Amino acid sequence: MSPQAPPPSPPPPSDRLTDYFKYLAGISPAAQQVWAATGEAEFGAAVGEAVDYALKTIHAEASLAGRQPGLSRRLVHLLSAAAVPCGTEVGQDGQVHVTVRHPAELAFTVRRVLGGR
Amino acid sequence: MGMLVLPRPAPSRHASGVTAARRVLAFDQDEEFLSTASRLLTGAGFQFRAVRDPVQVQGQVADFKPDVILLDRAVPGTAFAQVSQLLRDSPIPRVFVLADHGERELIRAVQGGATEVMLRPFNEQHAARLAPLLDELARRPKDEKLSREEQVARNFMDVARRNQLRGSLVVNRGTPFEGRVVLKEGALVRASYGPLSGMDAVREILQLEDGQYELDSSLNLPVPKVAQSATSLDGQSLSLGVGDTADIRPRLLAVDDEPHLLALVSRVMVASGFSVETAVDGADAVDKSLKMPFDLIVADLSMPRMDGWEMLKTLKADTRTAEVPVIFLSAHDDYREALRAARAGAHDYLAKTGRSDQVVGAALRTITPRLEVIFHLLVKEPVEVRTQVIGLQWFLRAAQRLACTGVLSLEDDWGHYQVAVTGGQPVGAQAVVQGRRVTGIAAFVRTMVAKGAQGAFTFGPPPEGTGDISLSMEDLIAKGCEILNANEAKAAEKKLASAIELDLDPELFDLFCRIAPARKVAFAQAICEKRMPLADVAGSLMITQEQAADWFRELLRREVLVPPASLRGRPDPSRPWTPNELHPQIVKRRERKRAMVEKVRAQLGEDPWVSIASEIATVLGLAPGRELTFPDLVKFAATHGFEWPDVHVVVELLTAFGVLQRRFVLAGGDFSSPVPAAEVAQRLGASLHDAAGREAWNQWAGGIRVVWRSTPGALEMYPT
Repeated sequence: MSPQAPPPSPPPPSDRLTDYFKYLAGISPAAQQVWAATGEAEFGAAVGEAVDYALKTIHAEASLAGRQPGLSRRLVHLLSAAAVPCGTEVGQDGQVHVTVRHPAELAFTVRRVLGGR
Repeated sequence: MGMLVLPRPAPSRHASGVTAARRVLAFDQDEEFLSTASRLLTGAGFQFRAVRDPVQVQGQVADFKPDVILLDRAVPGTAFAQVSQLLRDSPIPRVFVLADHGERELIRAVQGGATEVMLRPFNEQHAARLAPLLDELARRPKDEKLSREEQVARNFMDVARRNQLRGSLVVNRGTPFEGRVVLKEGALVRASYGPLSGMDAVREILQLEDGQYELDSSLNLPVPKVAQSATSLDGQSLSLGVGDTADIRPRLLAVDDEPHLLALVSRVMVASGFSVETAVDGADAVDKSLKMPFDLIVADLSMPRMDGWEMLKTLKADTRTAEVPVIFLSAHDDYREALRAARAGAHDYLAKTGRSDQVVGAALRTITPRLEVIFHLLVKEPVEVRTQVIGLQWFLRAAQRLACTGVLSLEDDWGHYQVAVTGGQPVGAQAVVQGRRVTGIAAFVRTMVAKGAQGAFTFGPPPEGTGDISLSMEDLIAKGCEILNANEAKAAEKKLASAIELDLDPELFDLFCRIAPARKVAFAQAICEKRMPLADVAGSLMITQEQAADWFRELLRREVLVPPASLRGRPDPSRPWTPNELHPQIVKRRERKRAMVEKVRAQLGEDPWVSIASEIATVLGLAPGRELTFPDLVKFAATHGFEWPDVHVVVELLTAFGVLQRRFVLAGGDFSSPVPAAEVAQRLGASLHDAAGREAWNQWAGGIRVVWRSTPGALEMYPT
């Protein structure tokens, strides 16, 4: 997995499902695994991989731009770009919680604490 | 179909009357158009300003104070409709630049408030026409007070004069309420519509929302063809040679609560060749129409239980009975009532004069087009079919009765439709609507929706590949009507359920009027329109306070009555109190909305994402039910100057928060059945493990489209 920021993906050539997932795989290699996860363990592993990939992208962007703006928000944007539904909440301790839901709305979620602001 | 030919005037060397003070504001998102217009108009001495964003239009109008506004009709998406709506009541003249030469575009432009129309591409001749146009408009009396309808009629006549239009503009061709405006070298020769003539007729014709406009080169009125009786036309008589001619005699339902008048109408109609049934009032007529399809209904207007108006409304609201033409007989001879009948969809309106020949004449005029079709079908000749005039259901039943084999091919502005029949029974249907091909019952339903379609029925064996319907003709028609009625009911219910932030939505109010008793309607009017306090309303309607409170809760539950937009911020203390402002449901909804917006915005961060979300909400909010696809999102990004990946991020975020829904639908098949996301996930999972799974996935997923649409009620939660 490359730590560099990925080159911008060309838009999908059509509205077909095949093109949609090809595009998502270009954004995040783990996107399809997140979609296809059928159990909590699979889902956790796939989301972990997608988050790691997004964090590496953020680090690469920071090293390129020399700054690190809105980490949690950028993470949400990168996961969203891979069609991984997520949102942030700030806890009482100042930590940011990113909640990820299964894209096909299967009934399990994974929570992972990312760190203080 | 006629084409509007706007002559190109010779280029003028001097833009007469141009002064430095004259200002032109142009709205477009096409840079080539804007730069050409800027160059030509600046060269002609105008001050020019371009505006690309619909939300900036009003501000620019206030700031620049233009003398005329140029609007490009070809702006993609809903931006044009948005701007047109914003400027609807503006006194500043608007010139629409059209890409389409058709008469419908011309009429739509004039109905939309255009003072003049010009055809693309914009050139120096157009620029030269603006100065004389402004001179002419400046000569209009300053203090005239015209209604919007009168302004539209005058603008149409001015456009006709400037462009020297010649020919007839016809609406509802072939029906007794045909409207016709005849123009010669831009001047009005004559106009007629129902009981109206002259400019009154022009005005009414241009107000028809669902009128089918056609422009042809005829200046003379066509000689109307009228059947001699219900079974003879042009010297030919209905006779099958075998069997009973009564099978194909036109069926007429006479409706009147006065037995002797009913008997009289029945007698003269039977003598004229009709097969006649009778009904004693509107409700009886509706019941009988649902049991047996009639070719014509002749009804009294004043009847107990259900009067003629209510009967017509009920018949038109049900797909099974919407096609049957209705002729009204009235004790009054009032042109306003005749006009009301035309607007309500009646085929003719006659005063009860005691002369039966008028009623017979109107009935024969009405059934003549159908009789013509019958005669063509009997001799197996190709026949022209206008569904607005004869009705699709009627035609298919006629083809069934005469055991025809052939193909009905129709088209309208939206697509092409085909229904194949063998021995009078349907064997297949296909439709191509806006580039999408559907077959079977779905295609048949789309054909039924195309009420203004026209084409022909040709005899011969249907082509290969059309055999995808196995229902009988009656079952197919019943199925189509059932689907359309269910869709209509669902749409009506959805409108009622999703209305928020409005005092009184006219559409919802109309829906409410259809289902509510008159006293509840009066109650709603008193609360919302007259601003009467609840206690006063209860007193004036002579109902108890408890009952008033119950009715009030019902209006809130149905969301017919809700606080106006002006109350979303700070309440206006000068506004009289109405109880709905304090209703807990409304307060809760407002709080939910605020929380939702804050949550989504917190995820979006700063611009461009917030702007993208607002634009998406605007686009989808202005066109409920519209779907966005990947290519749409790319186009949207390009048009609005955003990056494609940013737009995609916002769409996925709005999806995650439930404002949008991601749907997977079968491509080219039945659009109404989405594929569940869980199935997508399952099949995708299988494709990740082996080559066979991958191949199966590619084959399956290649036939599925990904679309986003707004979640009902959610976009209203997202302010733009």
